[in-house]
Amino acid sequence: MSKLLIKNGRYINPKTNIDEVLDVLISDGKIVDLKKEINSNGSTQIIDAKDFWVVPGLIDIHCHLRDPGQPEKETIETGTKAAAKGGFTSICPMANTHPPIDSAALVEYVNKTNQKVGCVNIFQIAAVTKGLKQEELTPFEELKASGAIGFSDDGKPIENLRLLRSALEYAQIINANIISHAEDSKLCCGGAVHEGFWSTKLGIPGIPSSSEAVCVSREIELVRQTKGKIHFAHVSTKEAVNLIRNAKKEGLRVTAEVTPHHLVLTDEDIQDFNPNKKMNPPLRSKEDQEALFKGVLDGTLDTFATDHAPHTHEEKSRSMVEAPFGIIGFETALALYLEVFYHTKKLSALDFLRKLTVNPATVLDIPRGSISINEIADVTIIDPNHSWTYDVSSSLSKSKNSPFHMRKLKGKPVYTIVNGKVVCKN
Amino acid sequence: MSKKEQVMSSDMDKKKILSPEEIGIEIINKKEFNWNRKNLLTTQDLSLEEIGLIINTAKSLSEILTRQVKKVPTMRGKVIINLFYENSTRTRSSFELAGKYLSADVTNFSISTSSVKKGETLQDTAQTLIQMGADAVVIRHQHSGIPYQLSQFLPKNISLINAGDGSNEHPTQALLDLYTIAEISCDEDFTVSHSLQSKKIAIVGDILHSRVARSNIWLLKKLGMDINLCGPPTLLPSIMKEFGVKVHWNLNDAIKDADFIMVLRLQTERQSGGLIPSLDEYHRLYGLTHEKIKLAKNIVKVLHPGPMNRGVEITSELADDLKYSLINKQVSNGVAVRMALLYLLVFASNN
Repeated sequence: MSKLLIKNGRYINPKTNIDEVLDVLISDGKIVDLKKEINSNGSTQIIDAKDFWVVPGLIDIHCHLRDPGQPEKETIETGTKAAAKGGFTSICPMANTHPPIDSAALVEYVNKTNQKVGCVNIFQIAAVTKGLKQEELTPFEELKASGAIGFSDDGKPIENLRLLRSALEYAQIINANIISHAEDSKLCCGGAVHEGFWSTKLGIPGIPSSSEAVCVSREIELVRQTKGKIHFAHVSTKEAVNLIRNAKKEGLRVTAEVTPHHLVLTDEDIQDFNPNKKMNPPLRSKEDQEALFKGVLDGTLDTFATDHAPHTHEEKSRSMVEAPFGIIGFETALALYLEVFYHTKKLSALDFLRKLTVNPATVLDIPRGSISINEIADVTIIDPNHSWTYDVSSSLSKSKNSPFHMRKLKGKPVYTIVNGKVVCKN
Repeated sequence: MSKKEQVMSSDMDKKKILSPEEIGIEIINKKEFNWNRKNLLTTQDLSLEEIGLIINTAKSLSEILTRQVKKVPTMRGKVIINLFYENSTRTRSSFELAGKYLSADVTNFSISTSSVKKGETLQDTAQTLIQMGADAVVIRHQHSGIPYQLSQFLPKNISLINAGDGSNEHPTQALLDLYTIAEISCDEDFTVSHSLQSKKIAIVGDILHSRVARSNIWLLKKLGMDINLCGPPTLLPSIMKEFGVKVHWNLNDAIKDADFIMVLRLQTERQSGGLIPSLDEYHRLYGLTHEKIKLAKNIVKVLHPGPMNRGVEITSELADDLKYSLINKQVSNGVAVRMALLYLLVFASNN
């Protein structure tokens, strides 16, 4: 197998806290050498990474690939291509496909399809309940053995708390996470945007903050009781940030993620009635946004995620109320996170990348997120200062539902390398 | 051909060569004020000059409604499409008649939500409207924001009029309400901006879900009126204070010394939705009666956008008492205001 040498790059590995200019030699899908000035021999492919960051392949622990079942929105092929273009080498698609991923056979379908047509690693999230029906638990152990990395009925909260309690207990056999989509379906019922000044002004039914907060609160109670592990997806409210911060202080096994759109946009941005600004949870208020920033900086929010959620143009050209929730995010996430945390100097490069590499790997026990010697060569090479404009029509995702069309961005993945192979070059 | 039709057609023939200025709307001084607005989606971006021109144009056009033959050729050859995603006989008929009195060709285009679900997008609909040669499109939709979304797909030469979108806005209703208020309060020349300054209006009912309330709030605030919203907290969130209006959960506070009271229709599903305990209790707390309006000024006038739930938000006796009620006037004024808007928007200069 040929060798790949990445020269002159700024090697940043948050897991080992190393941030210095080092050459990286890859052979056979592994990192085989790591030092200043590695010399190449004839058969080695060389990438000059001067002024670039050479970092562990980015991990997205929350996305939707719509495969199986909704090829008009996305497939494993198009979804993983878009992920690679965004610098992600490992992604964790949610289970709410058609049918939902609730059996080993379906996890195998995803993995086999990915081997055939995909270009990044997939660590599948399996459903907590069979058919997402919230009646019976899925076979956690069998699912894990077939490759599932965590469990979630994402898209809906588990309203039956007795069942959620069982899930939190039973998942401890395999030390797995339950990933919570925290909302109260009665409180949010019929809502399309954050309930507040803007929903009231525009006359759009609102989703109150309490919808997320009461759910986070009751689920933390169950974690306290069961000693299980929960991961809160897409945290959006200041109330939830506070609850999670306190739970962590108490030592409960609670982790949480944030999405780029909740950090970059607020409910004020929905004035143009653009359904591409409709997602669940919704864009919240300025105060919520500030709390999310605080939560990221003090570690309450462990990881960045995309919540990449493709929908067709037809669905997304309906009204704010009728259009489905969700926006695509693979290709813009890195630049948006850089914009609000790195370019503003809120986080160092090491701490910034932590949220996209080692932290998500730790939260879900994903065997990636670091590129030391002998580790798998999933590498992203990033030009943090490259200025560009996002044109959604050039997106590799099958869907184009992004609110960031024509937004000026700074920072771009240049190479995405999975298993030692370049899968995307921008 | 019947005798009546003959009369009508000869009347039409006589008038067909007349320009808009010659048929009774010459008092609109378009020379002084350059009207170039093509769309009316909200009352928020209307200037005082534009409001004045709409009101004055409506006033001069209202005369047509009193004629034996209610037709002038002003908009002959113009096509108006009523695009209604939500049923509304009253508003649709009002626009239809307004267009017809001005000799426009008006057609009704009702789109059921189910056909939208089958896959027709707003872009497709816009294309259809363009291909059919529409000069103006009047849109009503059950959800907020659709007129904005549609406007992005229509060329500038097609006027778009919002006839109510979700709980967002109903600008023509607000303008006809203003016209009705102005008729009572203003001088001969309808200088609305000064005459309404500090006049107290109470808007009572389900404000949260009311597009009529929102469009009125934005419009009447521009004219300096003292706006008092009233309803139970479940239908009137206190955050509405941030609109620059007063929020009252007690009817007496809202209507004390009021010059005008606008009563909104209460959708009966608010009870099953758990927002109010019963229609009886609603009527007791917020239903307008002769007794309750004694707190208002003795010259107080009552408005209602219709259709009314008699005995719920207003008693029949009060609704029918012409000493107070402007409800019938609102209906005829609605046609006049919509004639004015169709005329102004379609013939807006394109600069």
